[in-house]
Amino acid sequence: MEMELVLLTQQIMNGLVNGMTYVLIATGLTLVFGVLHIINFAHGEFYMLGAFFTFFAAKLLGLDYISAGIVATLGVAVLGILANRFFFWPLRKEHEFTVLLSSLGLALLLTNGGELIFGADPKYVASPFADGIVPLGPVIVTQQRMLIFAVGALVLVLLYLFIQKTRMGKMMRATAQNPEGAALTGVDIRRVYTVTFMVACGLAALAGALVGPTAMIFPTVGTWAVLKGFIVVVLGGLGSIPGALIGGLILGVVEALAGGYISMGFAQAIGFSIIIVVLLWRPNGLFGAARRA
Amino acid sequence: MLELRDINVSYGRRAVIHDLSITVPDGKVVTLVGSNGAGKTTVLKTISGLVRPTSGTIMFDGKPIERMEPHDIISTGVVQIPEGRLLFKDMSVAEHIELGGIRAHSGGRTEAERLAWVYELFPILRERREQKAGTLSGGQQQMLAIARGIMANPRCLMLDEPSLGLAPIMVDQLADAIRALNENGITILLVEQRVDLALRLADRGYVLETGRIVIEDAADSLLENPRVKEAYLGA
Amino acid sequence: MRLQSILAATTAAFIAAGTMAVQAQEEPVRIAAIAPLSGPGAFDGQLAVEGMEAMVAIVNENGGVLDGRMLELVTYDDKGSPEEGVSAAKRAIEQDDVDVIVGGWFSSVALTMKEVTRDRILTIMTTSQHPDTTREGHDWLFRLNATSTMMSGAYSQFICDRMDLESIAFITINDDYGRLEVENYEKLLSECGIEVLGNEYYNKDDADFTTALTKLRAANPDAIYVSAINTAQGATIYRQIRQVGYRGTTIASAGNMNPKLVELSGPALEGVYSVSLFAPDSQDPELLAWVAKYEEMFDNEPSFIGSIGAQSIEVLAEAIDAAGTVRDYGELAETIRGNEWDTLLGNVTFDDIGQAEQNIYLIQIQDGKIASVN
Repeated sequence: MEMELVLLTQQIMNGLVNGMTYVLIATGLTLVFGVLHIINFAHGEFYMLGAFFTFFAAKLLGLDYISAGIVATLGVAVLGILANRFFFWPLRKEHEFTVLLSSLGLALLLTNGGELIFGADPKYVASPFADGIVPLGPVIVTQQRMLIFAVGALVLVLLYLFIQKTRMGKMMRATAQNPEGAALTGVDIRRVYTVTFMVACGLAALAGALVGPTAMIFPTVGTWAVLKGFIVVVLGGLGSIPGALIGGLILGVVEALAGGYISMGFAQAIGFSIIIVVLLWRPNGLFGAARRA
Repeated sequence: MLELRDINVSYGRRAVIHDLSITVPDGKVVTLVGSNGAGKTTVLKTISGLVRPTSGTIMFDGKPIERMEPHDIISTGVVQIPEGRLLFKDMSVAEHIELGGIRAHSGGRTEAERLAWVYELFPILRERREQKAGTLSGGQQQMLAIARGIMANPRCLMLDEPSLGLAPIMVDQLADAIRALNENGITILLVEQRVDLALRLADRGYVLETGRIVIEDAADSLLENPRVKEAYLGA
Repeated sequence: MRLQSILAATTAAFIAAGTMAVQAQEEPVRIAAIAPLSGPGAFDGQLAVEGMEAMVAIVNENGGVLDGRMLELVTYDDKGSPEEGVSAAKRAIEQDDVDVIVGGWFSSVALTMKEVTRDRILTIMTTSQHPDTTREGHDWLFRLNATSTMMSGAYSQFICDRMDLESIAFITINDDYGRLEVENYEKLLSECGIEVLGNEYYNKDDADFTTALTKLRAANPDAIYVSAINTAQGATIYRQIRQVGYRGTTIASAGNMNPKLVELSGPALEGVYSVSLFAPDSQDPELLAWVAKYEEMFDNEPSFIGSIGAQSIEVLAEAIDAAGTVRDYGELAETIRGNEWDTLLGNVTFDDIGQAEQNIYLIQIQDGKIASVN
């Protein structure tokens, strides 16, 4: 009986940590949708780039894991600016569907480019925290997973403050709710695009840098990331950051419980089943009633 | 001070504004009237920079503004209060007023003075400072839209259908507010479906039909113009 | 003007005829290499194709086959999925008209693909271990790897005799190969008194195994048997076994060890056993020649999966020469079945349904290297 409870707690813990990685991935995705109404299929590729940049920053520049992760996050944030400048901004007046297909094209471009440049061989992002175990009573978590959870929580708080309190955050919310009204109020829409993509891609990269050491990385991991991201975003409501938080944690915990008590084979299917149930019950997602950033 | 010369605008391959010229003199109220679909809103959007003219020039204070970005046009002092108000429904009244000032034209009133003026013009907004825009009544929303515009420190304020959807008593208040703005030195370009109201407020009027100016005259003459009377005043 | 055009036409005709003659003489033997080149199995596919390329280079340097025809590899991506494997095989046969097919790195792909290639083209399956990959009625089908039944026979004998276990649990890929693995080992290990405490299946695109491993750890078995067919997932599982706090013995599934996996898994693989057709310290001259060629051409370390790829080319090249034909598949298949082939992995023979019979070696990770155990 006691043992059962420990196992349950351990699985919920596993789920919360995995959920936080989903949250980090989904937040950028939902931010871009919420503010700019763009569904960015290439979001997962920025996650992939974050992991690979961390790997190469450590290998080629000789940086320690944390510095490499920061360099990777900043580097991919800059790529986000470029992706906006040369890709999304020029397409802003096209039909939503055209933008969506184009982002799919960008995803393929980045994946194939990644395979060409990084090679198909899996890589391991070495972290000093990867194998260290933190015992929380009978429940154990690796230091890396504690780090994922802590950084994830911190980043969400900072993002919330940024969006609620800063001038740029207010400009982003204004653009999200009424782009034309925002332009006529004096919001520089182009700067909002730039900052939104910078933050979203930076978040994806940060997720890649953090999750990298828990598994192997290869150029197609972005597909996995964007899939999880979309499940969370649909679950939580497109464009809602609190929705991404709750949706991500729910998905993580449900997957862990399904994997732990039924089978991992079911865990994936269960992710999709909750989506169907939630969408039948609340078509706009859990937090989708008010579409806000 | 604001002068449109030979402006042409197309949406795709469809031309919607043809060789349009309008002058808005300093300190005056000028109105642009016409039926639905005549192109009035397009004219304002073109001045604001949301729509690019295919040809023609727009001079403000002797400088061309037709190639500038919307936020840069606001900085010169040309500010539009859009039709339908285009508020941010989940943002508070205070946040709207703050955002209104981000590209304010420098010179004239300071930001603090404008803030005080806005709350003096619309005291209800001060009470509702923390309330979300989406929860305000129609009249209060129009006040907020104007307040947001005033915070940009306009020298030329363009109002697009401000009376739309307002109760009669609110329309009177609106007219008073427009007069007050003008008396405080703000040039006004007013687009209104209520042609009688517009012409009573204005010094000068232009009548727009299918993208062309068909009549241009002093506002009180237009009120007597038989063609205007027949088409727009229901007489 | 007129004279010029006649001249031009004549010249063109001569050039065309010349080219045709040259082509007829040197037309290469085209081998379709259908392998996972994207997705989680991409690296394994890359190792496989590299192994084949190195052997193709050796054969071509020695004059090719059938008096001077060169071998040419045409690669296709099966993405590790049966549907893509089938479509690649169809393209290879129908559009590209290749001469033979080498494929079947993963059992799920091999099992589906063999129905498309049946009676149409000679096919060599490679690392697939599922027994049903070779079957009666497929006269032109061969498979090089030992079946999982053959492997599990040898491997379970070793586990029972030498590892001193009382209990075991499995983490297994949820596909045809994985399901059969569990079935085999549950039976064989139970027979020698090892208690099976559980099995967790995972999907081929999973990246986190902590929930399954947490569950297995709670069952507290003496050993966890990992059946992982791609390097990326394998390395992740081996590391996560330690990260969930399991301190017992890890056993790696048969035939899935390569130097990259050892490098990526770090200390988690130290001391772990597996079995392989590829004896890392073999001094076979053909193997040494292939290793040298491989290292000259590619950056990766030569691996088992690459050596199986090389073996497929070697058997094909020798058999084509011996049969004197490529396209007479009946004759070629008969030749392959009827002879013993001396390859880089040692001598290999094929039974009536095309299943290879070759040596199986026990290996262990020692000081970060794959070593043979006697």
